Amino acid sequence: MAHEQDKLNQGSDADRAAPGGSDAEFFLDSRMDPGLAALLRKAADGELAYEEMVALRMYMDSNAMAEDRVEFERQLRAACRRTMSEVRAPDELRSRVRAMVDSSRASSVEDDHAPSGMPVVVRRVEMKSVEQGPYRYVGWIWKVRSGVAAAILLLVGFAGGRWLNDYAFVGSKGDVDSDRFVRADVAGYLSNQLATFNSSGDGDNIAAKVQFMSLQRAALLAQDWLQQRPQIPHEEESGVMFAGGTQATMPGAGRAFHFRYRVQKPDQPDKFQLVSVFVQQDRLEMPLERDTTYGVMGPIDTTIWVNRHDGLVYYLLAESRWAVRRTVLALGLPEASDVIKSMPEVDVKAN
Amino acid sequence: MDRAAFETEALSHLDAVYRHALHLTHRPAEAEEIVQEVYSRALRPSSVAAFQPTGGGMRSWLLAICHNVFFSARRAASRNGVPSTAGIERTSAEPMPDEGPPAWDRATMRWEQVDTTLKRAIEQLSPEYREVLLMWGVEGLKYREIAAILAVPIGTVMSRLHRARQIVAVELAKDGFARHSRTRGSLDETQAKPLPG
Repeated sequence: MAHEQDKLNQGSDADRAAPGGSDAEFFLDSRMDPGLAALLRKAADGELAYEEMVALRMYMDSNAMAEDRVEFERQLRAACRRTMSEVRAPDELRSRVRAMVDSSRASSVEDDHAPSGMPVVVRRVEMKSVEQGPYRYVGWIWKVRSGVAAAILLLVGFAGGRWLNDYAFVGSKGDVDSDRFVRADVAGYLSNQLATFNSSGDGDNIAAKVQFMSLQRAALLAQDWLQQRPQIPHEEESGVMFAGGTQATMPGAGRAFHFRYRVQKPDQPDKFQLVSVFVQQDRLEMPLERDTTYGVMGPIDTTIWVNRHDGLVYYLLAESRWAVRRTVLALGLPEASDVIKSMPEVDVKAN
Repeated sequence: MDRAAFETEALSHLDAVYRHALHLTHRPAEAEEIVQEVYSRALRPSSVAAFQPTGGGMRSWLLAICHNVFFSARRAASRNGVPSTAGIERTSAEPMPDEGPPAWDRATMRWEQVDTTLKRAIEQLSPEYREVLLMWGVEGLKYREIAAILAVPIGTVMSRLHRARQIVAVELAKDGFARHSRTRGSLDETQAKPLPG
């Protein structure tokens, strides 16, 4: 009887693995006695009590048609699987979907909203060739949406670029007040750090100046303050990984920390760029709009990205803007991401 | 589930999704479009973040997207007055609702020879029936999983599957694969006979 119990109590895993499936599920249909249907559903879920199993077994033994029907449905399922499962996705489709996966991985941090931001997929079949199919209209909708989105981006980019050029970038050319948004000493300190970092490539020189430590060790030294460390909930997925931290000496008063992140290059997952994030307690000394990212030209021709958010001021330094963008997004600085994402491709150094 | 594992598992179900789309549309080009749309939706960061590997797992989840993409497009097309014949043919062999399935003598059924007829019978089913039958027969999904994919009560799944089996059984009988069949009355005993005790 134990064997019978096992047979009737076959669970879903076994059912999925074996084309025949469990006996019980074959029975279920809308014309069935409700009591029997309930029993069989419990059997399919592996929840049949011993008494119920006995009742079911007796029923099956006393009804030859039930046995025939079980067999019919078992054979039908096997035949369905045999005849219809031979279909495989074409290699070309497989390649395209793989490309979509790779592409979406790269853009997963930058776009979490609309279909227009999804990876561009080269479709093998032109919409016109789909006879009377519903998808020929989908293509047009996407085109119109993409066009509208592009126009909006251009407008926002143009306006944003003008605004940033006029007000946000302070430079070393002397024609703009370099104290306007970031104190010159702060910008100078940060850009010097980056220059050292750049010259050494892997950051050896900067490591000699400030001892990088693990998060755990840093936490022991400054546990209370480090709780405010910029959190990246899914570092692996965002492509931005914490690489160390230390206390930093920043011009002006207030405690500061220096965090370092390794940022994955979107199209080359094996390539990384280091981003330094200096976080200072906000003493409201600078006229920065909250939740807005500013690009600031440092004294030695280095761009510093500054963001005020939640009682802190963030200074981000990296060789490339994409690395800064990914870091800002990963840090979850809310409005800043919008500003950066809609910025036009303006060469800030030329301004 | 991290993104890498998510992607790996999603790709492992590509054949199942394509098969499902092809069975719905009957057109390879249209099926490929649907598959791309399915993966496009599934790979959105918000989808990846929201995915929970519970219930029927990722395969069921992808098949649910596939189902929604196909039927949404079909509804949109019908609203726009675009005639779409993809997969909406209904077989003339479809029995009336109260008609019971034919009975079989399992000892004499020639299952090894039914493939061609079975394939034709399945392809002639309406998409609603074909979809349920293939999810049950080919993908090995359980009733509750199918119900979750289609977002319908389990009773609807049972009803559609029952009807699909009936139609297929009739087609097989017409081609003489059942060498001995009993009367319909004897089959109906399956439903009529009360449980012991």
